[in-house]
Amino acid sequence: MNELQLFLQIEGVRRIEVIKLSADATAELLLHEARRLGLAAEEVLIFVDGRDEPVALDIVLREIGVGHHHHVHAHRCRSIEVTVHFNATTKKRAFTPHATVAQVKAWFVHAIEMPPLDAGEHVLQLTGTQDRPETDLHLGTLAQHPHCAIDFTLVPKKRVEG
Amino acid sequence: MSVAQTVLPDERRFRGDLESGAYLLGAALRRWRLLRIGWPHALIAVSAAPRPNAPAEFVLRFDLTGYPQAAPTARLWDDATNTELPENRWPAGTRVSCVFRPRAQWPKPCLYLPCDRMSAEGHTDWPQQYAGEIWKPDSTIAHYLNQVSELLMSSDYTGLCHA
Repeated sequence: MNELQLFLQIEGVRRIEVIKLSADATAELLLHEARRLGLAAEEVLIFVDGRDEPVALDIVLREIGVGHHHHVHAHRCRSIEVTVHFNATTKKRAFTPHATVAQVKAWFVHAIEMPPLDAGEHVLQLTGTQDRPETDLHLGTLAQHPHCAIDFTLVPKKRVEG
Repeated sequence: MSVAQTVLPDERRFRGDLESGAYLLGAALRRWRLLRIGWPHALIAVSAAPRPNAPAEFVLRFDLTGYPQAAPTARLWDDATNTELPENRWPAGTRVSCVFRPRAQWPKPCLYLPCDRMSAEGHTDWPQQYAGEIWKPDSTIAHYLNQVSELLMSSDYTGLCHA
């Protein structure tokens, strides 16, 4: 395949962008794409699927296993400190900016040993708001440097009534 | 003979949103697939969790008139007969059946979702009650599809009504 189609998310922007790069593209091209989409800051880090550490900008994406429809992320924070509350329980853990909201929920419900059926009927909400971010969003879309932290509360899904 | 056709702004915008990241991500993850467009309608199949004697997907027939300033409205569809899906083949569950409501409970031909144009009519409290779920002029079709997909992949979904 001569072209890679990737899903790019960037710091502080709740949108999933589709970008097309040549198969021999380097991580630096992702940086250019992130800047084109509005992340104008210096010292931006690039994260790719399957790696917890940011990648070097001169690395060829294909050579580190980045393939068609993989997910990539551009952010200034190296990690995001996540706090999740549920009733009287609070747990904290650091995630990479390209971890998803779904991954945080999976970690938390496992940590508190919530049965799968119950877990399926709960969702993460930003604490103190009614905002329930889409589960596909990367954490980095919800946090902006230098505030590399997110506070969630696990709440029941709403039943549409009325 | 070719016939020049004018693509209306709502159709142009809808087709553009089919190239958006949110839509393509769902398609890449096989949560949904476009069957066809016959403006102002579009048929999109949404995948469902495996359940005994239930289909792998449900087809929604969207009316996208005025998209995206006006919200979409959709109903379950039988692509084979090109008619509305019979109620005994609708998906069921607790939350699921609140959305796929039998006509005896909800006479309008649409899903009972805050992001559905027809459902939202008259529900003046929904924008406050379901702030994250309602349709906004900058929403895309993925917003509607994600809500349906979440239901059909949830543990609440038990299979078909008649089962």
